[in-house]
Amino acid sequence: MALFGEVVEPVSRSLYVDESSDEEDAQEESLAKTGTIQWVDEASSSIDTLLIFHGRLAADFLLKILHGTKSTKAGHLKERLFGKPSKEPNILLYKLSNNIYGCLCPSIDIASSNGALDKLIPVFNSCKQLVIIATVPAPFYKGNDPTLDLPPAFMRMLYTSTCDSHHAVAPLLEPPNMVSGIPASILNWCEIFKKPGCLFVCYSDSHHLDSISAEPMVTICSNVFEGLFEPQVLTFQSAAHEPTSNLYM
Amino acid sequence: MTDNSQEQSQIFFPLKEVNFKGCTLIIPSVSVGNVGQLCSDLLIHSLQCEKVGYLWHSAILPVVGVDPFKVSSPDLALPAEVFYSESRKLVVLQLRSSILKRLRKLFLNELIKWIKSCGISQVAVLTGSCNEERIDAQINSEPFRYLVTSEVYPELAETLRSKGWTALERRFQFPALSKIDNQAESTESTGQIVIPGGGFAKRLLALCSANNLPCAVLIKFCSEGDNIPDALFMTSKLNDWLKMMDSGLKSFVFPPSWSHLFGNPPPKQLY
Repeated sequence: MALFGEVVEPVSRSLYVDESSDEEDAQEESLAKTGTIQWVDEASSSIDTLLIFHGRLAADFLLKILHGTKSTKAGHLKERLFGKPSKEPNILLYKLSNNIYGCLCPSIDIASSNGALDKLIPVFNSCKQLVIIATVPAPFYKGNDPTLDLPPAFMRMLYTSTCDSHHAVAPLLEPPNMVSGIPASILNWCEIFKKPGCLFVCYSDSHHLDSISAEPMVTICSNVFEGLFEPQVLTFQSAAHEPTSNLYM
Repeated sequence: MTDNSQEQSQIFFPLKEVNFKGCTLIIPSVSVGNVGQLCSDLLIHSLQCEKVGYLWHSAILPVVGVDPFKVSSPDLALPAEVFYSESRKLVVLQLRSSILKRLRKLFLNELIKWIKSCGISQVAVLTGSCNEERIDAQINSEPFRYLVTSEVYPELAETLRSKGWTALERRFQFPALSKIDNQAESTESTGQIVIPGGGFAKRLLALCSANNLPCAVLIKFCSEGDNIPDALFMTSKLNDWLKMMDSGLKSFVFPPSWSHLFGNPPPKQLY
């Protein structure tokens, strides 16, 4: 983020540009796969729906609703997703009901996203469908209307060609908006390997989980997974009054 | 119908059966200004190419959106898609994200295997190159070069040379201010070819040469910014070579995804 008076070099749209294509790739790696999901009990052979939460607000939402339900921890993946051994599990799996599981995915560098996907594929293969809930700051949304004309929290979605249309509780994510990272990696895999999957992108201008920023996720849980959560579990603290101007961040 | 002898590569996942035998493959190198990718967008939308498959590889950084060519379509746009125009015998690979450098070699090797298995007749790699790294001769001339290994594909080299295009100059060293100064001593065996900011273009050319695949690299000198004019320029050159549209640039249409390239309009509350 640029501070007042600081000169910031423009960032290239060509991510990871290789300025010296003549150089040999010094750190070429093979596609060796390491690390698997560590299940608490026996791995489930068939999961109806896997709910994947990605993003800070989504993670807070999942942890909040876990406290109010009889969910149990089902497994974890401890892996070098950040380039060094991790002391804490990176990816956590929870059993939300008999056939619905929740998965908490950390926000990691886009370069590590496909590696994380590789570890989760054995779990995905036993799922009938995948639902990804990703929270993104509202300024990342591009549209004709300035973001201030949109509600403080809103939702868009993407879904695969094999996905059941009854999950369509939000408008499509309009071009040229795109999603990157683990949510994109998972949805790409679903489309290519014909697994029903949908991605809900929840935009919010708040960094804190409250009744407003949680509203899109509450809508998903209430409409798409009706009856999975008790109404009181999906109740969040009201947002404190905040200045509406974003002229001074 | 797919040729029964065609070997299925793991990198390519077809949506329908197609036969690419004898086609020209356009590959954009993710490079400065994203010129190759913008040009591919123009080709796909203007020539109404049909999406026929995806490339899937761990080296391709993941992004996803909706179809950038059809408004309100729920179809997904994946980071590496293959489009096909049967009437023009043209296959266009569109890359919407970068290639991880540490897996680039693996990716390019598998890409070459797939290209060979398809029976592609020639490859055109579209790339940008940094404006600020130009030598004097490049500054004083048209900001466009081509690259082809002429000793392997003399006919292709002659075709491009006959259009008045300039081949990319060799340099004794990089960075350098000028090309090889002493023309009398200059042979194709001296100096090196560099494409600053060109991504994997040079490496792909080398792999195509090693596998006897005719390949030409089209290079547009540019900087980061509004690169639509650069893409139009590149498309014009490509059309001059491949004769895709008789009426030239007038027939090319901007895709809907090119809106908001530079962000949202300013918020009303500022005023």
